[in-house]
Amino acid sequence: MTRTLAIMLAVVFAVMGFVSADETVWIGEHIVDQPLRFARKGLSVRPGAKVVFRGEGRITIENASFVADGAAFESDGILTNAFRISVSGGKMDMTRCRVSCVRSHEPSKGKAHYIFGAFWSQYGGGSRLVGNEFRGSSAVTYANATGVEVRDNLFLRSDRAGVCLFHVVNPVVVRNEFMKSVGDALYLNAAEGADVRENRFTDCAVGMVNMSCCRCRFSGNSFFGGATGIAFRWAGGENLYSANLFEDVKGSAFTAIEAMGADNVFANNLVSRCGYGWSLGKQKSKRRIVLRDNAVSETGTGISIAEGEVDAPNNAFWKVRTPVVAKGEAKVSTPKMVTSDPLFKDPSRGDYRLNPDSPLLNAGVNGGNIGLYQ
Amino acid sequence: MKARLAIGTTILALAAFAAPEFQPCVKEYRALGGREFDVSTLPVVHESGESLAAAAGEVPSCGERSEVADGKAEGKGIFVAVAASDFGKGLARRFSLSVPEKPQGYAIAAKDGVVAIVGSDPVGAFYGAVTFRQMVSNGGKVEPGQVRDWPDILYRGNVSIGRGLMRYAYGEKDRKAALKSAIDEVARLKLNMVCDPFLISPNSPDKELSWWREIFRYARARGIYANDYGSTALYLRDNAGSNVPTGVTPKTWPCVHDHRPWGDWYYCWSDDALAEAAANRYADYLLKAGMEDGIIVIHPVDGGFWQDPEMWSRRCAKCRARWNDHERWKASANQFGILFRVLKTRCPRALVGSCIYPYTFNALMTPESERSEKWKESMPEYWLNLDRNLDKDFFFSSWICGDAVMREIRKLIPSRQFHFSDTYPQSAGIFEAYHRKAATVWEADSANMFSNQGSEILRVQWESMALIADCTWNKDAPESERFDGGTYYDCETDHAGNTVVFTETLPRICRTFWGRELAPAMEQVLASGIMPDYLLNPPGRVSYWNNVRRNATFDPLLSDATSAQKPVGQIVDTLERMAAQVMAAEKCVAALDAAREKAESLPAVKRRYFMSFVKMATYWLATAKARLAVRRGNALVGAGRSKEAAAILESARTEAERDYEVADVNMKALANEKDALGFRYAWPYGRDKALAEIDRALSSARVVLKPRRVGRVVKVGITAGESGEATKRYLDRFVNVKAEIMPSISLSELDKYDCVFVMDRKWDKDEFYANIRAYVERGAGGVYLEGPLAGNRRFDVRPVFPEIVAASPKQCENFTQKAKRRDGSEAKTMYVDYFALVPGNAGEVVATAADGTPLAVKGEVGLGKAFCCGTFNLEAVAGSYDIAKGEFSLSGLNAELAKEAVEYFSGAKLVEKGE
Repeated sequence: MTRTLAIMLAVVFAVMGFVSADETVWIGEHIVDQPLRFARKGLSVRPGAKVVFRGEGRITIENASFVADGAAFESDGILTNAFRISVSGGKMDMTRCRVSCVRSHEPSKGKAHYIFGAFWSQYGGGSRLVGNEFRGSSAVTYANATGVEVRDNLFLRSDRAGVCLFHVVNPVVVRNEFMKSVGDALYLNAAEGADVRENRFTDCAVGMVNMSCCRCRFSGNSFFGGATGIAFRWAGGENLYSANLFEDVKGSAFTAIEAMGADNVFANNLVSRCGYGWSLGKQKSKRRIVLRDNAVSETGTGISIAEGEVDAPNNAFWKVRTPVVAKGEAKVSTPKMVTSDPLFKDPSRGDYRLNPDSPLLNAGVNGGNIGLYQ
Repeated sequence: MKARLAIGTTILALAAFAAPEFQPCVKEYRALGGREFDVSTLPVVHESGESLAAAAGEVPSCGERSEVADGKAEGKGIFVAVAASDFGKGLARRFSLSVPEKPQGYAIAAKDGVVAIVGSDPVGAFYGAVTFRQMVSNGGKVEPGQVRDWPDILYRGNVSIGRGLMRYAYGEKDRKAALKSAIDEVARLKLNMVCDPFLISPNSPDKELSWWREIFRYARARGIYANDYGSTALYLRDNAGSNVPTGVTPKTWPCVHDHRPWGDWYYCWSDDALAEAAANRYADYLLKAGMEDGIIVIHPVDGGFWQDPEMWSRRCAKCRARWNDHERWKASANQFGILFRVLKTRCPRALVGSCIYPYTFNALMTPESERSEKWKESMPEYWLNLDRNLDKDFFFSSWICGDAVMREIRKLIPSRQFHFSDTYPQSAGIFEAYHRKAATVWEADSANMFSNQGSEILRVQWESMALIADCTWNKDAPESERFDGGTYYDCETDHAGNTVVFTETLPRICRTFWGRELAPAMEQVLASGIMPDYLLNPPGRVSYWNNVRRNATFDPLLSDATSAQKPVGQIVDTLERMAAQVMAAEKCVAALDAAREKAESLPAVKRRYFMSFVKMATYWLATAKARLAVRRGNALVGAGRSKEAAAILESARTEAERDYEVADVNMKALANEKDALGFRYAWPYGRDKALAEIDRALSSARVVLKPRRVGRVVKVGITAGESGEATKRYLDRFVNVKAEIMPSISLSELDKYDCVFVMDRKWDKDEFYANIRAYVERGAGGVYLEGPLAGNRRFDVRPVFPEIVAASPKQCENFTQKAKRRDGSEAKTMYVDYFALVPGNAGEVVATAADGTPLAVKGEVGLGKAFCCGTFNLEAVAGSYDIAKGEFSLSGLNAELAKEAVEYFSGAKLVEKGE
């Protein structure tokens, strides 16, 4: 039986592509309508190739590499709660590909698990995801992977999430465009040392979720529209959130659903035309949260906290209805608060550079500027 | 050589006897010695005839004028005759006059209180009278002397009525009289062609034509030919009316049709009856308008060059049935034959010919390797066949040629009369020295015509016309030069630089035209090197100059003219050039101020002309100063010295307000003075424009460049123009792009955008180099440059980002429109040519032509990025150079590159609306 299957597979490969010593190479169009498994020998999908998933079709790569460049991936149906592509133990390198409507759960039909709701899973191994376009697809999920690089990708109308990182060490997530994600555009769970930089989140329900991440750096990201910029759940500490821009976020730029861990610093962020700047809820860490050199403009509430303490020196609040709300025992200290017109260059057109006579110039904690630009 | 000696003798005579000054120089002048005598009251006796009466009218005497009664010249007086008459013969005998046996020639004798002017023909007598007028001093005295003179080129100059002379009639109660006065001045220069009667056409009503008939007959009496351009079109609609039958429209017309804003021409080669009818309509027009003895150039279909001359491929089925693809010459010979027969039958004295198409004899110098069968058929063989099959009196018209081309064309067409136009130069200055080359059209035993066209684009430049007269009347005039086939007009040498013209000819022209008192001032003005059209549009002018330097026959209205001229050095528009204009303008203002009092007694035509200078000079100065300040400011901004720039510009603003105030007040004070500038003329670069430009530069100087972060949408600024609009339409498809057309490329404007697409070339170069680079380098902006803007010498653009594109050396044809992306896949460009790019050290090739030549290169510059694309965002029509009309968007490679550029600049990923 096994022999028969092997012969059949060999015939299928001979028709669909060719088998090299180290990998199977796909060119042209491939219909994947039944599970295919590549173990030890990897799969390479070459420029111009088109992979269409149907029915129960899926690809499993085990301890082998998966390389795709300039290829298209499509699906004409939803494979509920299963991965269309899963790579475990091997290396994945996907560049310049277009992925359309490859889903792993019915959209808008309740919450799917982050892992099982993904169409793509990488477990362990290294991964490089560069310059791809994902449209209307489920998430790309990494778990326990190392050397993950997610750069210059477009995630449009991602279903539930765009990218999920579980227990990934030192991932680099740079210059990706997340647009109109239905759920959390970028989901990080217990990631450590992540470098999340210069990503753009436009009209995503939640831009980013940080769940128990430590020693990560979130800088230069931009959040436009949507309900929430960055949400925190459970304790994660020693993270730096710097120079992030939040514009027209209906809810909070930062919202803590659960208490954060210790030594989180928020510096030089700019919140404009949002509902809240920081909605911190109940914080329990003995170490204070630091908010410094941030600028909040035309926003409902600047900082809101129900429990815990915040050091908030040298922040600017302009046209903020309530700069600080500290309920009960909560404390927010705001030395050197600036409340005059920040004199942004053209805030109505999203230009928050400072005019030469802006009061935010050199008004930061260490003599730097308040706001995005140093 | 002989004639040159004769002119030399004249000059010697002038020096020895303080003899009169002639313009144009006469062939022979001999001072007879003896005392000068008064002619101011002498009776004038002339033979009958319009030209002879006109000649008598030119004589500067207030004595009685009468026609000779008995054929005898008795007593003292001024006698005007033709050599063939008894009266003329008698005068010749009495004064031992040897009247030249040449058309338009004459002899004059003045001695013992008697003056004899005898022409070889009536027009010669008229020119004799014109010359005699120059012999008479202000006091009405004349030195005894003899003159023998004749023109070397029989048909000279071509003064535009529509563009020039009519301006002397604006605002006059008696427009006809005013126009006649202007024609008098043409005649006094001994020029004998006028053209562009724009107000009339075969569709004009008879009443209008009869008004013009009087004008053209008046001109003809003074030896002036109307040079009219007819057409091979069967029907014509123009501003004057239409003879197009009902139901015939450009859409329904089956054969070739030409549409211009001012008219529609309907062509067909297959219907002889219609051709005959059209020829008769045209003959009717010539007769009614008084042009029946004019120079008639029949214009064929204008377009297609040699590849598809006259759009022959678009002819109708009937034409195809009658003439096959290779028989255009037969069709033309038939059509011209009909026109010639009809016109010569009905207007026997008309000179009839055509600028048979393509009318660029220069194209004979096409390199051997490029001479395809089609080229041979369309040009040399076509001309040869027409020469063999058309009447010998039918002239051919072309652009002026150098000797080498002339030798080639004469191998094909050995003896036919040619009508040569200058290369239609678009002069930027006021006095132009280039017509010193006019006599190049002279050939022994020919009756070639020299038709200048360039001088009249905006005005009649009388002194330039006088230079034409000088060089066509005397082919060996001291300043005369042979046209070498290269650059006919060159701004570097033709407004201040040619030694003989500016040290000898112009002073003489000024003395004879303006009089000795005004001459020094006007000479200063005319030799100042001021270039008003350059002041109005520096980049446009420089671009034109360089186009001409590359291609001597470059005509902005025609893209397909060509010549074998070797490219010469390109002109770089520098700050110094504008500084020189400031000095020139200052000189003009000072000279004209000094001259104003002396201009009181000028006759009407000259006074109007003079006032044009007086009204404009202060604007020249204000404009030159403002532009110079802007350039200085921009240069400093480019060098990162914004504070210095702002200081200069702030001071320049104050000064410009003052300068324009002076100019406006001057203009207002002279409101009642008529001029030759045209109806309600206003200097186009007025106070508001100048201040706006200074303010723009000032705003650039005040911008502190800092990097920005891209917002929710990528803000893209795009320069105006067809490709800009197409790019905007394409980028409007994306939900996260906000594309806008930018009104300028000031730094403050650029700084509004995350990236910009600069597509057209109409920017001030200093502003372009300074701002574009600063915006990228220091402001972290992204700039997309299209076509030659990456740095093509031919288009006067030096590489603005040499580290990305070191050079863009040539424009390449790519009619297949095939290109390759970086990954080797194929793509298609929208347009049929592109500029090859040479990547700089930091340039990364993004796309190439099919042969691998880079056509798109990108890279980082300072804090920002540049993306240079050699191909155009223009839609070619059916793989031709024609550009699609209407609202086209980007497609193929152009679309991909535009998207890639925006993503590259901004880091954003573009998403289409509705996705």
